[in-house]
Amino acid sequence: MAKDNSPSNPADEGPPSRRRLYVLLGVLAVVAGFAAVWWTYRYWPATLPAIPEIDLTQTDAEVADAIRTAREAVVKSPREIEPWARLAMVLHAHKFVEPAMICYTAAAALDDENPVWPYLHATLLHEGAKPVEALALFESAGRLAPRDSPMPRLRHGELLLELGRFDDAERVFARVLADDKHDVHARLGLAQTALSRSQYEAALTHLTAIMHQEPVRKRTTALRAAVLEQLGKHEDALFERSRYGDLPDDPPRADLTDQLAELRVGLPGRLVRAKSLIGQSRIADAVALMEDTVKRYPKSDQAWIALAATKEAKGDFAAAEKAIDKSIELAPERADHRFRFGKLLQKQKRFSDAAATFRLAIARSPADADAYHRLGECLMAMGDRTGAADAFQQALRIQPNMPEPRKELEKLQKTN
Amino acid sequence: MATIRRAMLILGFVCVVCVVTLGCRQGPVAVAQTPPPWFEDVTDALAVDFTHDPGPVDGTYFMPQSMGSGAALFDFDNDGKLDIYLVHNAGPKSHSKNRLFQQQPDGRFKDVSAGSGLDFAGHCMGVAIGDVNNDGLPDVYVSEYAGGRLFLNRGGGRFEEVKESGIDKQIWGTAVSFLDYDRDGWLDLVIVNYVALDPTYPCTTPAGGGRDYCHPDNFKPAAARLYRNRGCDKDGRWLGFEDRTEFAGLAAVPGPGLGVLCVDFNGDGWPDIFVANDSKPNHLWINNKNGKFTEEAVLRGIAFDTAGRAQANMGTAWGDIDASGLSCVFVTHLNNEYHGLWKQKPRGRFQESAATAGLTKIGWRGTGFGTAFADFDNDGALDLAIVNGKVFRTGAPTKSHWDAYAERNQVFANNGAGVFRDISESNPALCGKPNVARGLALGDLNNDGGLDLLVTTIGGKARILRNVAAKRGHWLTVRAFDPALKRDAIGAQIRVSAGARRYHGVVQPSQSYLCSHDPRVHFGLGAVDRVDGIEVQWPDGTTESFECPGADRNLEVQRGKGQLAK
Repeated sequence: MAKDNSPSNPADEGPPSRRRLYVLLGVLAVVAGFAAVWWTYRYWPATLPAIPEIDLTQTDAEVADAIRTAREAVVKSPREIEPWARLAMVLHAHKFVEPAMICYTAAAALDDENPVWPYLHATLLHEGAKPVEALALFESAGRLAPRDSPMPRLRHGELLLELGRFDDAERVFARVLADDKHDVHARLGLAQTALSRSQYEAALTHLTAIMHQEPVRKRTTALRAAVLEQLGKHEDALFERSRYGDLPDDPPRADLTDQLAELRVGLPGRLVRAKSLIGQSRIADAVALMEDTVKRYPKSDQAWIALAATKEAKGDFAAAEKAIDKSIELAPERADHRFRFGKLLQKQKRFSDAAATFRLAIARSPADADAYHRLGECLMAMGDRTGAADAFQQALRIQPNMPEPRKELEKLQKTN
Repeated sequence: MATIRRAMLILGFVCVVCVVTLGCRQGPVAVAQTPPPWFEDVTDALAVDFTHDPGPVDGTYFMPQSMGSGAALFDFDNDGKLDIYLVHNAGPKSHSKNRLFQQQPDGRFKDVSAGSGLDFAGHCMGVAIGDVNNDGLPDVYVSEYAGGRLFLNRGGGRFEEVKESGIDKQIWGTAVSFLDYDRDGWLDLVIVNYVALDPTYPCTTPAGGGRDYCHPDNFKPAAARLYRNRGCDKDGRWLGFEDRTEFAGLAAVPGPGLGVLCVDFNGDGWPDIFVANDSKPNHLWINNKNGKFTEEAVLRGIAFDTAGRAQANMGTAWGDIDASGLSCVFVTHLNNEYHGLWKQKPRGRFQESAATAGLTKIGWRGTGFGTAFADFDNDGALDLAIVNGKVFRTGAPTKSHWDAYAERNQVFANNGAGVFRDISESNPALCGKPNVARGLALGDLNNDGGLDLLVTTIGGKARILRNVAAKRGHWLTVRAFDPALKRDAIGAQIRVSAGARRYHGVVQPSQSYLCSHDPRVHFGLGAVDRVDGIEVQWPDGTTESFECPGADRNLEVQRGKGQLAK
């Protein structure tokens, strides 16, 4: 074997400054390698699900348009959070459950610090009878949510309770309460936990703390009645029971899903908005919305009847009557349109026409106690006492707890 | 993203460990064994050929269609073998008439509908069985949307409709039950009503693109009605019923009722009335013993779940699931809720306990209708069966209209302490194929001590599931018969002592959803092969003790032939 006489590696023999440079370069290379690995780990684009295909064949045109537009935005920018989130919520708002869940998965992958996506995904799973799958997502949303947004944690606790994990549920509710000692839902959760363990004294303590809080007043009162009865405090239980009967229903709890209502389009979305506008006394806006709606949906009797409602709210009875006529023309079989027409006529004291209209409503919907009652009122106004009594009796036969026809019958009997 | 990545890394590590561990393992990997099934489908073998007609699928989405129809298991000819009555819901003008099947000596069934009088068409919902005129022959009431009919059993397989029975045409009769609420020896009748339906009102899916069946909240709830049996005149002529709804107090609080349970809820020996209301609080009408009732569901803790929320209450079941001596109430709900199990403790007070009974932990939930507590394997603990089917469409449109509503059924085994385990997967005959099930009737069709099932579906075949549970325990079936009244003692409470246990049951066939069960009370006794004694509390409150020659038999106890308790 020939001896290697080639010069040795310059790095081995070079000056010290050069050696240091090579060491430094080596260290830098290692650091860069680690940085590359870390960056890859942290920022490498997530694997996203395929953009879902959505069957829109039987869907309202406006709804279909909204979904198509949202989907196209995802196609255009498949690695951006906004389009995925928008598509998910539009689909959710219109109950396209499976594709909405796919989109929430994508949104969560692109925006993994945001509790909204796992939360909304979890609500769909829970509504879709998959509580165990929903649990992990509620937990994840709860972990991501800021302390002053307890809803994901509350839903997590409530689902834990539902699944019989009382200790875990108690911990979650206690933590929410530690952050906000006035949180009525966390307190109710603790009461439920105690109830589920048959710890009635503890349940009563929690329930008593929130018994006058409007969001849960009726529910709390009902539960207090049962708990007091369990504790043998029968008189107190009876008092609570009677209080329960007098209370109005608890308002629905505000939820992240409420914002989905804003995304609802199509005829149902417009009808809901018009009702909401009337509720806010924004009559002119409601009229404008429904006038636009009947142009867009000219063959929809629901659109015309909703227009009639806005016109009636405005006090324009003639226009309201015209709109109801149109709705009846489009859906002559519907009893509720006739009933509404009868009410409008009755309001204008056109009793004979109203009575005839109520009869037409009853012919289509024979179990309508309200129509019988109003028919009775019209007949009374027309002087037909026998006919009126018969109509009131029919109303009571259908709805024996209706107070109005009973009062009218009593009045009739007194004046006979 | 980061979470998923971290999870993937951990998962990868775990996989490697698993691969290494399994690779080093000697011998075959153990595989969990599926327990043997409890049921086999014998519908064809028993020659029961009934396909339910819910009426035309014409785009109107007529709401009564989606509520389905029930059935009855009863011995109309008193030959000791259960017969079957199945009803349609296609309307009075339909050609689909209700069918009566008589059990033959070989256990097969023969269609004896023609000429029976029960072969009529209607929007038929529920069936209740009871001998209203105390002539020894069980009579039939069929509830209907906008109707309802009473038939007297005239013997020889003939039933006669009573046109002037005193029972009005109902708004929408659903669950129906006989009871003797005034203890006069004549069976009274409760007819639960659902809602005052406007059949012309269209409901749509939330997407606005298609029609669907309505939610009951779209209509006003209707009141349950109570009819008192007037008994016979001095010439022995039966006088029919009188409407006591208003007097009794039931008219005061209407509710969209679908289920009913007429048993003694507060332990005073008088029958009370529980009405399961769809999406509204349940009603518990406590018998005041003077012909009047007071609604006490809220007070007694049975109106709501533990959050004080009303759920979609539908089918009902009653039974002592944990050998506590106190029965609990089970009520089926929608698939986005959980079913309600109200345990009784102390007597007359209830606590919703589905979670502690293991009934909420299941990974999948159905929309439950018919249901029954029954000891299918005779181990001494009541198991639970639920039949399912959705009420609203979800997902993509299906080829067949009713497929969009189909779900599989479920069965749960009780561990003896009142904790249930889902064993649906090992019962493919009952739970394998999705169906739009509504009714579930329970009875021992072949008198072998194993409880069989009859399932009704919307637009599908009624199915008979024979109990084939392996290694069933010992058993006893008791018929509580009152010879003076010539009929089953509906409302009688039966207590059986066997070994160290005491078992409780009640004669009340009207349970589940729109169905009437076998009126006999079945007890699984487990390994105990003797019966120490039977105690019967008759509907009038008197109690008698009976000796029992042994287990594994169908026993009839007759009032007056036992030993009266002090």
